[in-house]
Amino acid sequence: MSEQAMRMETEGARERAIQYLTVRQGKRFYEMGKGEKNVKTGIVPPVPKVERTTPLVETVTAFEEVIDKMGEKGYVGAQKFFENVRPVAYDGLRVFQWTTRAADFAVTAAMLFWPTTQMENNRNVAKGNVLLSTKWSSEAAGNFMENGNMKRLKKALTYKNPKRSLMDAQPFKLMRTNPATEILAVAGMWRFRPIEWVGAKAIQLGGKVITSDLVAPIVNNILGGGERVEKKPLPFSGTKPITA
Amino acid sequence: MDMNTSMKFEDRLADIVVRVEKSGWTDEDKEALYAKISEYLHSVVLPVVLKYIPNAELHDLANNPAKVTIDAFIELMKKPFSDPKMFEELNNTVHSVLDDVDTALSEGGIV
Repeated sequence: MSEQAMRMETEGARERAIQYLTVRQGKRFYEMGKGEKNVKTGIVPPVPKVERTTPLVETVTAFEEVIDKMGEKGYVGAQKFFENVRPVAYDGLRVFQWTTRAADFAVTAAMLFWPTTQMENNRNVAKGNVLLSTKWSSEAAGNFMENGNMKRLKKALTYKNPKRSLMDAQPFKLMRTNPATEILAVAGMWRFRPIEWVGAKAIQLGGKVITSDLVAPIVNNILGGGERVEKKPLPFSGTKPITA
Repeated sequence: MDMNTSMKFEDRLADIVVRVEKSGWTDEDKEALYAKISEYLHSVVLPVVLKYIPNAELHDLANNPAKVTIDAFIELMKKPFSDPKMFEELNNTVHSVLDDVDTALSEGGIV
């Protein structure tokens, strides 16, 4: 048998053995871990299939990654700084989470209750707070009389206390076209909380940026982290041949 | 208790290492297999330990990351490690992992 054929055979054997262990491990871990699937914290190892974690967990994880990465890069001082601010950072992340969550609730409430300009105008008409503008009134009235052109007449209307609404953006208008879309939009906001989600992603991104090779040295200098300490491989790393 | 679980864990592990070393696999293949076995063994320990931690305390800590300190973690871990049942279950679990490793070696043609 050629050397290449032998190599292919052992590689195939290795794949089969490792594949078997991977499958068994996944199955066993699922059976052991399903009782604890709601415990979302670093003290429980990741399960193969996880529910979407909450943004707070993501932001905390991002912070932990910053600490780890600074250590991996050898910036021991900066790593120590982040370790020291850990309790404060957790509180800060929680405040951040609730602020963004409150923003999501505010937007949801606005989607439901904030009137559009059209609604404001209708209310003005209902109250009789409507005037014909002097500039357009005669022309528009004549147009309406002659052609029944309501559009032109509407343009000629001016309102007392005119208001422009925040809810005039096209997505909001579309959402309010019927109750079904409105319910769908509110349910979507409730489930996904997009502002909170974007905030969590921004923190993750921030973590990636400050630990990037370009920025990490600057962060280290700002924090007075000192010189970079090169990591040395441990004396027992790697596989030593074991004699049978 | 079968013959395998009556052997000490260390002895079974040493036996597996000897069989792999005699297999004629390349160092790279052996290294990958050892890494997998190590990962598998690591992954089963914590779930067993977690079962013996008081559930309320575990969830309290999980829901309050600010409370997770080295001291809190040590306090949490003292309870399972003072329970003899946990060691018994852990022993059975790691032995069953070694059973899987035995089968995996057969799958890989190692006798």
